[in-house]
Amino acid sequence: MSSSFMAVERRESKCLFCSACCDIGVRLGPAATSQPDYPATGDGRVGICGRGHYVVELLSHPQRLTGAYVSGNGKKELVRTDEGIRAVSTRLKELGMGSHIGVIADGNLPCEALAGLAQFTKDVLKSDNFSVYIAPVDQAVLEGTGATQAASFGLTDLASCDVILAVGDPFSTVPVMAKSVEDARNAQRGNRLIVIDSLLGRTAKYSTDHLAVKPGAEGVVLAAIANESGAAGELSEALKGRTATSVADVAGFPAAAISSAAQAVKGAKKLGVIIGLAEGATDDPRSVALIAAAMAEAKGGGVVPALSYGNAVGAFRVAQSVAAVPPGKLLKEAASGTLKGLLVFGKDLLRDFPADEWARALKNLHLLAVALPIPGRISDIANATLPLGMWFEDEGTVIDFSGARSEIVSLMDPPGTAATAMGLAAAIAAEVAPASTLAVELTAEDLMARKSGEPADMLGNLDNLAGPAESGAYLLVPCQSSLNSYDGWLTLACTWGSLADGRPVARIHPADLAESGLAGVDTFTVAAEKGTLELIAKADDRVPRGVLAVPCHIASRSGLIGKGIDDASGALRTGPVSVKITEKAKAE
Amino acid sequence: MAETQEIKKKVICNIDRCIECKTCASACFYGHQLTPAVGYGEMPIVASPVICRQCEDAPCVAACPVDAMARDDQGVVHRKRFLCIGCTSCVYACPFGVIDRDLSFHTVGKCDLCRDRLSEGLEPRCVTSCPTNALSFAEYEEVEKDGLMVIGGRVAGQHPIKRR
Repeated sequence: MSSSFMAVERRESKCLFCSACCDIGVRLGPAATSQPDYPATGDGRVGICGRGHYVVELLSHPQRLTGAYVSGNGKKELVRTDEGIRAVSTRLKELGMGSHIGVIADGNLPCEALAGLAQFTKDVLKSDNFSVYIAPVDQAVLEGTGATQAASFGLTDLASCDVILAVGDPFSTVPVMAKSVEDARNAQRGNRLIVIDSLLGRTAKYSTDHLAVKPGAEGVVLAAIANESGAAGELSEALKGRTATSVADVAGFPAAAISSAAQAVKGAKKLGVIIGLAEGATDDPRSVALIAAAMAEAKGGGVVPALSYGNAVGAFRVAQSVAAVPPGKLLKEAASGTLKGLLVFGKDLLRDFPADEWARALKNLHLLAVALPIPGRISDIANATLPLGMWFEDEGTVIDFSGARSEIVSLMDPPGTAATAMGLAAAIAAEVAPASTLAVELTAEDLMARKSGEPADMLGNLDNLAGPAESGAYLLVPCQSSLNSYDGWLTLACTWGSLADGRPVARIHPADLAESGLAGVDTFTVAAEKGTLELIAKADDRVPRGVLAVPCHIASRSGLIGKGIDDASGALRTGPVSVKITEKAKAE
Repeated sequence: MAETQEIKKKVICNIDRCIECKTCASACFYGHQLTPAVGYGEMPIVASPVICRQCEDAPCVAACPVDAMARDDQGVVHRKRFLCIGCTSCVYACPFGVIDRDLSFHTVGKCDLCRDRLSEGLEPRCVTSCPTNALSFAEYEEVEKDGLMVIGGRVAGQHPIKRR
C-alpha cells in the first residue's frame, strides 16, 4: 500500500456556525475519512461544539454542487460552471446594467467577499441595489447594541463578571459561552446569573434568577430593571416611570422577583449582558438589545450579542461601510416589478422569512441566479444555480461577537468546478465587463463599528405585546435554535434534548391541553394567518400558560412567524403569532 | 501472559456543568467512523452523557462469544470491529446500559476511550471537545479529593439529579 494513500493532513481555520468564531481543526483523510481535530487552545478548550463537528460532514457532503444547473424550456440541466456563468451573463446583457439588477449576499461570507460583491454590484452591474442578508434577529440585535457605546465583552471578560444578565437562551446559540458564564456564577457566593426567558431553556436552568415573563415582555421587564437599578443611561428619560410594580401585570411575573433582579444589577461591580434571542421569540428584539446595551454602558460593563451567524458582526459593519440596502427593499422592488434581475450569493431565500412574500416576489423576476453550495428550494425557481464554495473553502477576515478580527483560511479547495463568491463574481464580470477589475482592499476603517442611530429614537413601543387574538387561541413562540450533529446529520434541535430533534413537536402546558379538550390527542393542526402546520402534541409544564412552544426551525421555515417588511427600515420582521389548535382530522 | 490491569482513569461527568449540548456525542460520532458510543440519559430534569465505565471485571468481555470484546495493553476494554457479529450479548451483559446496538452496521458501539488519542498522550474526544469542561478524564481518587461525590461514575452535588 502506498503511504500517501492514508496520508492525513491537519488544517486549522475558524468555525462560522455561530458568532464565537472558535478555532477548528480537521484531519483531512482520503474520501470520507476526515475527522475533526481540536486545536491546542490551552486551558480554554472551547474548540468545536456539536455544530462545529458538522464541518467534517460538509467536507464530503453528497449533495454538494460541483457544476451549475441552468433552467430553460421547462427543464433543468446540469452543465459546467463556465456554461452556467455564460448563461447568467447573456441574460444580464439582455436586461442591461443598472439599478433594476440587485445582489443579495449571505452575511456569513468573509468581509472581503462582501466588500468585493458590493464593488461588483456598483462597478460591473452599475447598480446601487446591494444587500447583505443577516438573520433578522441578528440584524435587530446589532442595530440595538450598535446605538450605544457599550463595550464588547469576550469570553474572558464574562468569566470575571459578578452579575450576568442574559436575555433569551444564549447557551443554545453559542454553547461555548457556557463555560465562562458558569465560571462567573460559581466564582463566588452571591454572584448572580439573571435570565429573562419565557421558556425554561438551557441558560435558564443554570440561572440564579429566572424571570419567566410572558413572551414578548422582555423589553418592558428590562426597562423596569434599568429604571429601578438606575442603569438606564441614555434611555433614562424614555424609560422613566417604569417600575417592577407597573410592569408586573404586563410581564405576568411577580414584581418582587423583578425588583430583586434590579437590586442585583444595581449592586453589580462588573455587569455582563448577553443577548441570545431566538428568531421570532419577541416582536422587537432591537429595543430589547438597546435597553440591555444601555444598561451595560451605564454600569461600565459590557455586552455580548450571541448571534447565529459566524460573521454577523463583520457583515453588519461591511454593510454599514458600503451603505447596503436592506433585503426588504429588493423584495418590495421585485414584487412591484421594478427589479428585473437578482443575483443571490450563498442564501436560499425561500428557506427564510417571510417565505410566501419571497416566493411571490421572486417569481416576477426576469433573471434569478443563485450561488449555493447545496441546491435549495430557491433552485427550483432560479434560472441558474451556480456551485459555491463554503466558508471553510474561502479565505478572508471575520469578526466575532466581541469585535475581535481573525483570519479564516481555506481547509480545502471547493469541489469540482465550484468557486468562491468572489470567484463567481469575477467570472461574471469577465463576461459582461471584460475591462473591469475586482481588486478589493478593506481598510481598518471599513471594519470599525459605527453608531447605528440615536438610542431614544430607536426605542419601540414596549407595551405593544403580541398576544392571542381571541379566546381559545395560543401564542406560538419558537424555542431557541441549537444546531447539532450528534446523529450524523445536522439538526436544528429544540432546547429540550433529543425529543424534538428535527421532528415537528409542539409543546403546551398540560392545563391548557386539558382546558382545550385536546388531552390525549397525538397530532395538532396549528392554524395561523399565514397557513397551517401539523405538529406532534406534547404536554410540558415548562411552557407557560397560553403558549405553544415550537422548535425554531419549524416555526421559521414554515413562514408562520414572518411578519412582513418593516416600512421604515426595510428589514424583515418576525415575532410570536396567534394560532388556533385543533385535533388533526383522521384520514378516512 | 499476565492479564492487563483496568485503566485507572475514567470519563467523569460533572452534571453541575453539563448543558446537554451533546457535543460529546458529536465528537464520538465523527471520531469513530459513524459508530458512536456516547449515549444520552434522558431524565425529567436533565439529559446527560452516559459513557462506558471501563469495569474492572468487565461483563461485556465475558459475555462476548467471539472474543470481539477485549482489554488492550493500556487497560481499555474495546470492541474489535471485524470480529463483532452483532449478537448484542454485550448489550444485555452491560450493567450500566452504555453499550448500544448499531442498526446501520449490525454491530454495537463501544467506548474505547479514543485509544488512538490515548496512545498520543491526548484525552478522549468527548472530554477534549466539551465546551463547558463538564467532562474530565481522571481517576476517581482525584475527583474525590476535590470534595465531590462519585455516584454511578458521575459526579454530582448533594442530590444525584438536581443541580446545586
